[in-house]
Amino acid sequence: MLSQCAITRLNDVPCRRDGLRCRPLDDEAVLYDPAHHTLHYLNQTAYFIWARCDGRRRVQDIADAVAAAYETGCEGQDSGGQERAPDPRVLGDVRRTLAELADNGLIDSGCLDTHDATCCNSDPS
Amino acid sequence: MTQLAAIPTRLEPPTGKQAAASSGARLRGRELPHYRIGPVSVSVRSDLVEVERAFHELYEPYRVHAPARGEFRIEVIAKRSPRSLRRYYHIRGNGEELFTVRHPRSVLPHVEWALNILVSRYLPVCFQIHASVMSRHGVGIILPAPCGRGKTTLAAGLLTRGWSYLSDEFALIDPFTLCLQPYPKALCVKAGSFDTLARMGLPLNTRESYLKGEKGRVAFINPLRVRRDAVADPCPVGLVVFPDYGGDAPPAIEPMSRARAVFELLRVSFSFPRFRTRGLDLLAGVVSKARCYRLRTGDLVKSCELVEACLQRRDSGEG
Repeated sequence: MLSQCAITRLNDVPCRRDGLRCRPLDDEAVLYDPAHHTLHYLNQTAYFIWARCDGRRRVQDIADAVAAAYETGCEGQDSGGQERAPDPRVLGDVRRTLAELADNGLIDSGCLDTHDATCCNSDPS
Repeated sequence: MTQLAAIPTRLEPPTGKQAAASSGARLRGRELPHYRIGPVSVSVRSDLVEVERAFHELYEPYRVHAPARGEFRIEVIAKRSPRSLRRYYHIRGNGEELFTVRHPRSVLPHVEWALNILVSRYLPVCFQIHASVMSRHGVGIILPAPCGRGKTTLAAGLLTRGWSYLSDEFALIDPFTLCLQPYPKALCVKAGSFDTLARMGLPLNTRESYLKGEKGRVAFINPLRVRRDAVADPCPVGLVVFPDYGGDAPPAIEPMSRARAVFELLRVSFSFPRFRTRGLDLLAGVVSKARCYRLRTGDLVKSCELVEACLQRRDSGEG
């Protein structure tokens, strides 16, 4: 079951929770939460998304970055200078991943739909 | 994608009263034999003399003449039940009662088990992972798995093929050098593997078999009986292979990511509750220099060949 505070809006600004220990290995990572003594394995995509939860990027920005990295979606601006929506499949996957990260206490929901960059570490590791 | 791990609960050391209860080990007028098996010092005193003798046969090369500081004390005390008048054997570790068994043939496996419990609780120096550990040409391989996944059988198979032995129970990692330390306890082989291992040349004495709870009939083998130089020196980790018994399916091996391997290793670590963040960093450091695989075991010879092929690829720098 996904969290009630699941991040679903394009303008939500998720940020990594403070106090987590991250050990990146190749393109993946293991996170340790000392407060709850729990371990989490993030595969490549999950780590990519979690690492970009910096309290500045919006959900849409993260989805754009995923699309760009995996070359699956349209991102940036169209020829008229308007922002284009990311591929809905990518956006859906990113939202699900963010919800799962939130459910596991790996990102805070305190910056939803705000632009508060103070709640995040700048360095994921 | 994310996955929570079940972290073992930290176990506390015995109280002073429990420790004092074991001082009876020095009584009874017999000299207590002391052993140093890798970093582990232990003494065993048994009311069942054949248990002391069997333990000595397995660990005679590691006999020392004086107790070391922090020595683990294992005692086997025979008592009759006041109601049934049956004789039971009470196995104590550092004064704490750990097991009570009825059959004399169950005592030695539980003495071994008691020693494992003491190591997992009270050996503070090394980072511990539940695993068999072997090496070849100075390169260590960790075979981590819970009980019943075939890690001992695989280790025994590799032993018959010229690999060196470090442990059948614990990967002990020195936190300063990140090297594997030998803890050359006897291999405990289940009856289901007797024939296969005998065919591969393991000198098992199956007439000297024992009973170990749900594992059923088991036999112990001192690795030094396979080869005089069978026990390895400390070595770095080159491979991490997670075995899982696949029954009749053909053996297969596939790469595993290093992050996944660290995650899985921490789940079968006895030390993580104590080391915590330092344990994560330590294991990440170890695994960053290793190649990691998941192995579906089955036919033992084929399984060993798959592991050897991985080591060969690593040595030759192939992808």
